[in-house]
Amino acid sequence: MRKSWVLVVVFLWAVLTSVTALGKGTITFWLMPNAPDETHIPWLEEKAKEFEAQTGYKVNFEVIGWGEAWQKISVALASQTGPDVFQVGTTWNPQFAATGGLERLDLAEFGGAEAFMKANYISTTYKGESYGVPWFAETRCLFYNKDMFAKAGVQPPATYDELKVVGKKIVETFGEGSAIAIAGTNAWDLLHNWAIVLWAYGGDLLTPDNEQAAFNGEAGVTAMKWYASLILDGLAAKACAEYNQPQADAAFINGNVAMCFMGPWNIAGIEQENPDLPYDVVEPPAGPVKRASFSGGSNLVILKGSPNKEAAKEWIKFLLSKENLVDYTKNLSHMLPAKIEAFEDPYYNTGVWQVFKKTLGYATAYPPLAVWGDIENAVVREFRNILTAVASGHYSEDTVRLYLDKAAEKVNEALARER
Amino acid sequence: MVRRTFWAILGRILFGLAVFLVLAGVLIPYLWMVSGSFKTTLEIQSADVLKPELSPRWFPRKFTWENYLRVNRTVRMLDYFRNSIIISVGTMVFSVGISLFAAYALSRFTFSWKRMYTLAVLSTQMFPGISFLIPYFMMFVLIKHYLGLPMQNTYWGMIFTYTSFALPFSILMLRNFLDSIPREIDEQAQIDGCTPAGALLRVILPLAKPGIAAVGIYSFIMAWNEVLFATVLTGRETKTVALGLLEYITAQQARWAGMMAACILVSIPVLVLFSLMQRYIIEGLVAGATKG
Amino acid sequence: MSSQARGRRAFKFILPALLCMLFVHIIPIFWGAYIAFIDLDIYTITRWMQAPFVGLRNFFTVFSPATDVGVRYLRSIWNVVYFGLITIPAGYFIGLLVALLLNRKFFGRTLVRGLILLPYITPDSVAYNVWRFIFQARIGIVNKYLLALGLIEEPIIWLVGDRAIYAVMIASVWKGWPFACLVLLAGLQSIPQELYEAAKIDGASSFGLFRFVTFPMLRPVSATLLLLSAIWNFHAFNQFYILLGADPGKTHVPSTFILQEAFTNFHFGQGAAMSVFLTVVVLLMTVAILRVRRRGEEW
Repeated sequence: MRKSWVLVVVFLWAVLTSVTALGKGTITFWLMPNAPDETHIPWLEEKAKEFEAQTGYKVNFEVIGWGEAWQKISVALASQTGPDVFQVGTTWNPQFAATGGLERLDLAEFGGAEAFMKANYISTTYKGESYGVPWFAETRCLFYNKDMFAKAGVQPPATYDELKVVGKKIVETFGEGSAIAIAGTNAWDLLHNWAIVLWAYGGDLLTPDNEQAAFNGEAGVTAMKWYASLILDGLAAKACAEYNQPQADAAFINGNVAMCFMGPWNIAGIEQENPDLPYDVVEPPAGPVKRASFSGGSNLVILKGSPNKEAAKEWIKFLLSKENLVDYTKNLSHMLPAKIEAFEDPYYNTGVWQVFKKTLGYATAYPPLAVWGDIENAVVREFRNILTAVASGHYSEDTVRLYLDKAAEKVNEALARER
Repeated sequence: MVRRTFWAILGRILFGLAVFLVLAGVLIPYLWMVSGSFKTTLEIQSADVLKPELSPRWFPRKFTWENYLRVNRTVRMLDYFRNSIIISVGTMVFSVGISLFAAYALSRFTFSWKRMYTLAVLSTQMFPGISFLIPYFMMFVLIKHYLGLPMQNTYWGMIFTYTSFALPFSILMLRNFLDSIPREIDEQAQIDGCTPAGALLRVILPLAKPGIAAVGIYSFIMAWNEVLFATVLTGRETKTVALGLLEYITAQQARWAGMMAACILVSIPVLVLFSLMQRYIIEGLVAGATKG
Repeated sequence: MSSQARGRRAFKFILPALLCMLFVHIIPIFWGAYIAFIDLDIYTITRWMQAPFVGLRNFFTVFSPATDVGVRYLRSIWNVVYFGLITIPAGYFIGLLVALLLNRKFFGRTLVRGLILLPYITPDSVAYNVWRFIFQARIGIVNKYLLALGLIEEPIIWLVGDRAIYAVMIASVWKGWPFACLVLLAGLQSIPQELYEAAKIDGASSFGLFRFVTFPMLRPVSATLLLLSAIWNFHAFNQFYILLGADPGKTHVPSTFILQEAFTNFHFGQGAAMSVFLTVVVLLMTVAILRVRRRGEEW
């Protein structure tokens, strides 16, 4: 009687563990919905087949929404199970690397660090080592409505001061809130929107040694006041204070608003929802110090506990081959490749892509820190408080400095934990 | 006389009105759900409360079955249904089996640690899930690490978790039910030569069918509805319907129409099962809240 | 049979249930208490067996109004308390009123009783997603009718910012009152009819009947119901997570906040410390409820 129980337990265990052992030679790939499922899934299926024919490795891919991706990945890192290779946002890469859960990679295997856009390469690093391979890049430029500009008799602005002059003209013609749509309290990527203004005004998020917050200096206050003034002066609708990024995008895409900072992925949205929109794209305006843009995008990383690291590396190389990368970015995701050779494709010298390519040339990445998540959260929270003050009419001259100082305090608190 | 009938009629009208108000309050969200499930995504997305011609309406402008027919198109709802059914049925089976024995012991045996155990069962019901989610998750990781047995994102891991969640209530409810079955019956069976386990399985089990059904359905519903642990412990292969519903709304798109149709489909098994055993479950729930 | 043998026999029957309780409740709760004392964060998570012991530091951090986590945790506790202070009495009174209403015979009573149970049995994920749809600013019906009645000028954004908690309260009361109603109805039906007869003979008005018969007779049931609701109030998660998303900002409750701190921000040690505090609170309340019950038995 007792023996039979032991046998049953051993048998069950053997069955259960053998089920998982079957997975050798198969890699699991997690990625985000970089393109609409209708085109994305068939492309991935086809490429997985092609890869299997070439290398003999099978690829199971899983598309995970951006909303749940972070948590899924953090669970995977802690448990060292789940995907073998996965996509991470550029700002995530250093934080995940700090957990010690990512495989350290030698970029020479993937063409060397110089083969990638510099900001994207930096985003893969943590304490000087690489923990990922840049996949694609994105940056935001200024989209404008050509018809509205023509009717108001203005040209695309070259500086942030000009933007306000132009905006006022548009408001005179089309009414309050019609000049620009900006992201508000609900945008998770709120910081990206302000960072480019901050940099253009000569400020920076942290001191060069990444030890202290620096964004609450003179440049930061001026840049934040500029952002708030878009709403206070009526260039942007009051409702913007509560927008998330898609809401801001939608206002521009519907043709109600003349300007918006958007990325290349929005082009697909325009083609789908309002193909007649007469728009064009220019580089982000310059500030008194320089022109700046934000470098985002995604990298591919390998889980340290993966039993199939070689296969995972092969898959990364396969996805980064010039042909696949150009195909994926050009026809599916409408992002920009993170590998320089892919820009040789003539497509990137046409129309708006030229602008994006040029902007990406001077795009800046956030500092690669483990506590970056806490830092970004802290700044965004106080940023939200500023916007709430603007929307509720409690905004005064000191509001910006007050909240930025508060954010700086929180950021320094977080930086003290960086080690 | 006339005055009395007047007041009686007025009382009746007021009473009817009150009942109507209560029902309206209860049913409005359901009506909105049903109406939304027959609308086109375009209609919902272009709705605008500020513009009278676009204001959201109760009756779809364009009636469509699309949302039901293509329920699996954007979100893999059918896979989630399969996962949920496997996990919920598994939970039901195990929770009934385990709680039946425990409840029988509590109902029929006397032993020194009975009161302590009952109190422990009672108090495990009180702890919020979040108070043991973190270590529980780590335990799954450890088991995988040292025994090579994957727990996270597996059916058995989820079934084990939910069975344990369902047990406290199941045990107490079944105990109350068994208490209502006369002891003489199983004493007689034991005189006839049955072991206690034999008496339980052969004699008591058939008599306890309603109680068992109620416990089983309670466990099924619990596993069907759980959200917190599912967010951390399930993955692509085991994601349940409760989480699947959240996938209709993403940063880029809000597919309310599809979600409402899926909501209806997700509710159906629960409503059907519940109405089958309504009386017993309600009795159990009420007793659970008022007695030990 | 000796008492030892009886204990062993019972043990055999209860063993599977004990094992489940051990692995899912008991071990994790003690383990959680241990994690609360170690420094488990983004740097140590993959090597968490070697995470250093830090004493009470995690507790100081999460309760300190000087740290970011502390401020937000204290706020989440206040939120859940405030949430309970409004929803529990609201659910109780609606439940009581409807129970009084339904505690008489009328045509269609069974149907009405079945229907009012709907919110209670509808899965949380369904019910709160529907409410999320209802509260949408531009496409929801709440704003539609508030605008139509002229109560607001422009659409209110319900699910973000300071109003979010009220939206969650409304949805939760809608979902929760039928349970209170059910329990109170059972309580009402257990009141012996003779008590009413006697009171009527004494000349009590209908208010007097309620004041001197119904209400005192419902007191034990109400006490347990309210205490249980107060405990379960700390479980609040689904409604916040579904209606407001994984990051409800200022409207966090402990469950959502701990989930986010642990599994999004990698502050496992602090998350465990926050959980331990919740566990202790709930434990104290459970003791209170057992006391009340025992007193109830003496009555």
